[in-house]
Amino acid sequence: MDTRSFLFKLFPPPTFLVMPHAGLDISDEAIRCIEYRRTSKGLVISKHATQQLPPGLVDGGDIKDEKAFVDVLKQFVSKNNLSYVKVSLPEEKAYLFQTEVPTADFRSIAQNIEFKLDQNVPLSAADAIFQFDLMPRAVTGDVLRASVSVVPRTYVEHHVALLKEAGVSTVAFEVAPKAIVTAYEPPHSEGTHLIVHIMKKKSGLYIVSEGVVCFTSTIAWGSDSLGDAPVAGAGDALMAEIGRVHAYWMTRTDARARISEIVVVGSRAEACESIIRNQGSDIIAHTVLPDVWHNAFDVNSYVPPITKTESLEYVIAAGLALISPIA
Amino acid sequence: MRHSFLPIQEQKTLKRGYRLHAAIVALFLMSVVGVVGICSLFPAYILVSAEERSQTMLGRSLEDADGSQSAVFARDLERDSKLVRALTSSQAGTKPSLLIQDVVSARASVSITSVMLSELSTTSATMIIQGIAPTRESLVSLKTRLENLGIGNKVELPISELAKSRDIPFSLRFTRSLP
Repeated sequence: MDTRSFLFKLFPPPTFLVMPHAGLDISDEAIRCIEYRRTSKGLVISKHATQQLPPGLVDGGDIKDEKAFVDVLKQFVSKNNLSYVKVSLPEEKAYLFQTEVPTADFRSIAQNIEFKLDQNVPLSAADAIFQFDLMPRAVTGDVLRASVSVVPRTYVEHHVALLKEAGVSTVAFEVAPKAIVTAYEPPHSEGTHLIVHIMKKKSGLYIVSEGVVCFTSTIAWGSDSLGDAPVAGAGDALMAEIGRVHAYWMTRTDARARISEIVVVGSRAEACESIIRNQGSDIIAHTVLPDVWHNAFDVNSYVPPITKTESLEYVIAAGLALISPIA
Repeated sequence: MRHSFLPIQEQKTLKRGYRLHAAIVALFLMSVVGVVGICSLFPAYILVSAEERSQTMLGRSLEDADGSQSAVFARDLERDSKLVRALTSSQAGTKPSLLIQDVVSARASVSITSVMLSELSTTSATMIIQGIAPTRESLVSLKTRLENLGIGNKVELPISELAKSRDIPFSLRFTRSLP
């Protein structure tokens, strides 16, 4: 614990000044939120809620009926008394690319990326908002590379307006893969993982090395494909994609970090983990269901009001609630 | 280090809101400090007020006392002044001790047992002197010496005193003229 954290623990700033924010995960199927409260024993969950969305209201991150969405969101915000939120951005709306950068200086890297933006994504610098992480040396070798996430400015501004209309202030946005990593992966951890984020109609596959999202892929296979009871071959599409992603990662010239485990989160993650463990042992031997609360609290000293199975669906909201609003 | 996906305008709004919160908290804390300060000074204020009241009352009572007692003080002062004047004027005349000293210096071999200053005025002093004279001559000599102490001195010595020839007890009246 550094001096600053120790001081804040001894003399906690008033809640009014801290402006606590909730993590708000807006997916195609549901809106989920989690808010932590700091106590003398550490963080505890102060708010959590899920609101299922009508089918088709949000599709691939696009809001089809804005009025209906705002009404649902307004009720959700009012019911859970939310003031400030950090919101997830769907992975489909974000472009991810890697690029070499000249120095480790933040400002220089940002300028460098801005110059290269239109060469890598179909957006001009004026129409895009981006953020980046320096990729680990284990992946890039001696070359300094940044993993850049880019989202359309209009999309973000439109979301800010809708959230404002619903009566809540947005403190930041974060892409879903980064929020998942923030929730479960210890800071400064080493190793490369393949995160399989299962949703009802689709699944996201994210390669994360030392906390940096290096690769993302989305397939149109979700937990709804499993049916009530998983049958043989139900997860073939998912396994095929995992195999493809794994093969791609292994064939990359700069990929020196092997994927050590598959982390499964999301809807019906336990069933999917079972399928992956049984069918994918020849690809990657180790498959895990992560402790979503790892970076928030110790489940041995505090029992959260959310079951382990449910927590795997709250992973994005849990990660967003953790991240400091001043990114 | 990362950029936030929040547009710059929204970031500015958020920072403005945070600064507003910080200002409100700072004002609140200052108010709390002010209230605590006032509360902590209140007992001292009460004590000072009580002390001021008591001092004011004391001053007022002293002013009242001055009014009534000043006449008494003035009378006492006048009386004392008179006494001092009287004493000063009496000290300016002949001191009885000097008169007695002259008598003692003139006694020679005569033993004087008592000297009583019976009268003292600005022009004369009358003393009754008693004693024992060893001889008649010494008694007569004492009479002569006393008369010679100053012009106009008068000694009354009864003749009966001279009946004995030795160790004659006597009592004479010495009237001394004062300058």
